[in-house]
Amino acid sequence: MEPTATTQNARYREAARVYAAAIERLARGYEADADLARDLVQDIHAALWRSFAYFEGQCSVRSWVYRIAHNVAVSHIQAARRNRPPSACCGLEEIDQLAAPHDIEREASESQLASRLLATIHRLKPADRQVMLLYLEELTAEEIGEVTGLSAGAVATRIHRLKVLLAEAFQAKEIDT
Amino acid sequence: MTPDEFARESWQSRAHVAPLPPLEELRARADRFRRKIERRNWIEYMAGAIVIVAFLAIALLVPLPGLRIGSALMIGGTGVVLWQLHRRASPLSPMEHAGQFSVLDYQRRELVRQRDAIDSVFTWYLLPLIPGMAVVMAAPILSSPWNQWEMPPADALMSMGFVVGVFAVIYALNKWGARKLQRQIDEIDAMRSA
Repeated sequence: MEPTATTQNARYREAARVYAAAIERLARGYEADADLARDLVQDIHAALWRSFAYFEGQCSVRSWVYRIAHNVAVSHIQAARRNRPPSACCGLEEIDQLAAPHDIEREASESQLASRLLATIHRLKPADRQVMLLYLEELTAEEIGEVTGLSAGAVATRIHRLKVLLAEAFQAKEIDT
Repeated sequence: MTPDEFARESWQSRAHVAPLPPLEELRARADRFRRKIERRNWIEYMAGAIVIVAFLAIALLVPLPGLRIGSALMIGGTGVVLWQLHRRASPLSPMEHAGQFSVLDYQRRELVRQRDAIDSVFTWYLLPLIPGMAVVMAAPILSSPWNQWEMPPADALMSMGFVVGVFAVIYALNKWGARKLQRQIDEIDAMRSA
């Protein structure tokens, strides 16, 4: 049975309340430009609201929200690529350590590790970027596979590489402090 | 605290949450997307309608029988192309489909749709127009009795060659595009099965 507009609105409000912060972070992970990231957030919310007219429990609400968010973000990036030259991306296996943030002044007031994570995410190929964003949002490997469509093995390999990178960054931080 | 926990905590502490957009604004955004698709379809149908009107005018006003038959065939061919545009699957809508498919499935379905459309461009886009185009180009010859047929002048031959060349380029570019899309589909398949 098709959900009524009231149900659709209620489902959207609840999902937006729970995942609004994650959607903002995801948008920043895909779009480095702050204004365009804000626009992307709005696009994701619009798609999310409309999508609840079609939600019939095909998967968990969490997977549904992240699928919508990532699919809209990927479309956004593909459209943006037609208008501006793409920056070179690489895979997790090609990264030796977390990237250093570009904006040194901002680092004084923001968490340095979070900024390094964001800078690293911006360098990654789409599939690796998705795994890293979802992993940082505490999705399980199974959920990451459900959202991205990657095989369990592909997810496990990427998570392993990510854990190594994080451990190295953590060790370096401990040595610095 | 493990490195994972520390990284996740740092990452999630970044959240700067703007107030949620009002539902009216979300509805307006969703409608904008729908209108964009409708506008694109409308432009395609209008372009087809212009071609049909132009050949209808030729069929009614020009006395050459060959040109009239060719124009009628062009009108029919354009109709077939418009029908094919209409019946072929529309792009996936993020509102309707983005939650139903994983990122790779969503991308793959869209790539397959595009590949199928351009890979078969000869059958549904070029072939319906070829008979009409051929008869229109041959109309001056067809207007004379068959025993008086002559080799067309050089400029007429060049015009025919140009039209054939345009069709060949459209075909080749679409085939090249289809191969590019197939490579992207293969990459996705490799990631899904790795």
